[in-house]
Amino acid sequence: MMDSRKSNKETCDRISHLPEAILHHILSFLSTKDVLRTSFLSKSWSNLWTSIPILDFDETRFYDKEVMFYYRCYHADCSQGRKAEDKMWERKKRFADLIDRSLLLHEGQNIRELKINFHHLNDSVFMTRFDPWVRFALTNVLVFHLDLSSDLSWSEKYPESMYQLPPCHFPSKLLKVMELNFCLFNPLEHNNFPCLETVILTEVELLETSVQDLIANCPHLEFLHLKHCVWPDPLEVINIGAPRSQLKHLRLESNDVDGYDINVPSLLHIQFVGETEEMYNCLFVKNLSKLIDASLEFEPNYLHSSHGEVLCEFLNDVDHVKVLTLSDYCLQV
Amino acid sequence: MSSTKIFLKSSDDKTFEIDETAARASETLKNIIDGGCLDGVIPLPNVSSNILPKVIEYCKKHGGDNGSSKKIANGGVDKDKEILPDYDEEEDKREKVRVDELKKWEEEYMDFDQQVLYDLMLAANYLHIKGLLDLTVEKAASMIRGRTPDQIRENFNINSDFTPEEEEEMILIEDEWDDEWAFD
Repeated sequence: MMDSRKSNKETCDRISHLPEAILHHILSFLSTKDVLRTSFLSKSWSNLWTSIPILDFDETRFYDKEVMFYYRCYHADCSQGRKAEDKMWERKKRFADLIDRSLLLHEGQNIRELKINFHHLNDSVFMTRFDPWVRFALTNVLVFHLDLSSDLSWSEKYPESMYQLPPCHFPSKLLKVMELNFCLFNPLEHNNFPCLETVILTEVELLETSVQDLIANCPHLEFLHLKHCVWPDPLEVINIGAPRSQLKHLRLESNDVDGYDINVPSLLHIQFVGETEEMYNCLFVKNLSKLIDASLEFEPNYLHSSHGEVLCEFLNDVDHVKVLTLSDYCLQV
Repeated sequence: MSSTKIFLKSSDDKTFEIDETAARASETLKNIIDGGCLDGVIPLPNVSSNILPKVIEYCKKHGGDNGSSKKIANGGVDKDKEILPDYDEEEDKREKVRVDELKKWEEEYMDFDQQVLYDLMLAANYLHIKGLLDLTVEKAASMIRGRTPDQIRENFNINSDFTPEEEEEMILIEDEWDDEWAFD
């Protein structure tokens, strides 16, 4: 009874007349490359992709195997010579051009999500090109991911030519989620983030007071995750004091610091995770009366007898939590 | 499990019967049922009698499924009585069989021409049946993926309404892109 006739040839164009929401749904199942191709189909399609609510620019997905080979040559410093390198820079430039063009087409529109994954290598050629992308994201985007990390090891890529987010003197009224990877971020150079709820910073270089400044600039911040972050003077205790914030969940993972001094009365969850070079010299916590769970799941590379005191003090301060998670290491000392 | 029958009326006034559990696969129908304003027959002015049986077929297969496959096993026809399954190899095997069976079913179910695809997509959208919408949308996406604009136009019978000059310019950009993004 159901259709058994099968004809691949269509007599009329129904797909172009589907509701925009369904067409966006179809585009969301395609790679950016395929999505861009659809803009050549007809006039209605050429505008369709500019209203797609998610823009995802991932450098690695734009290149073919050949270019990825240049990448490896570059990283391995191998003798493929200048030709490979030139070609790689040429592709990177085109990729950056493509992002420029796409964002220009979306000027003044609100975008649900903007993801940019651009391998930032040890040079400043592209740095000036990032500024307009970030400014666009801070004004037009709800969820912003900026990943400038590359496969280079930490010592190779740090600290020269770390890209610093451009100053922004007006509030980012839309931004709800911000994820930054491998850049320099000084919250004091930004007006404020009235809607920002989630911030994830990975391999981000911060200033001494940046965490406090950030929390103060984001009245609705609920989740903050700092992972492999660095400070100019690594052997210091980072102050995270925010008596009036809304912050509920703080996750500190393998950051390059000597310890934390935390005073955030609104906190419900606190987590210390990942590997650290040394045991924290101090883990001061104050005013964590609302805390529900605490987890100490970090593993320092060296054991030291004085670690016990620091941990004991911390545990005393959070003895009211309902759930306490400890790693093997923390149990040992 | 008692299965209340629900009646759905298509846009061309034909009535179809469906179990309540199956009908719940549709968010729209679920809201109507839970809202308690069920008055015998639910009119569906956007779904024709050509496509409604196909929608019902999908709901029957996925009704009561809230994402967990165990529920399919327990809520579906009791072929063999299962006692609370422990997590074991046997269960894994049964799970695999279920997944394979579902894949095969989907393949057969999705074997239809493009007109049905659009109707089904629109019906799934209107009735908020997420699984069915994803399934149909993916089928359309697969007809675009990795193809040249010409092939896509032919697939969907899309007329290019660009001027010859625009057309020419686009061919240039396209070639440039092809150079850049050779298909893997």
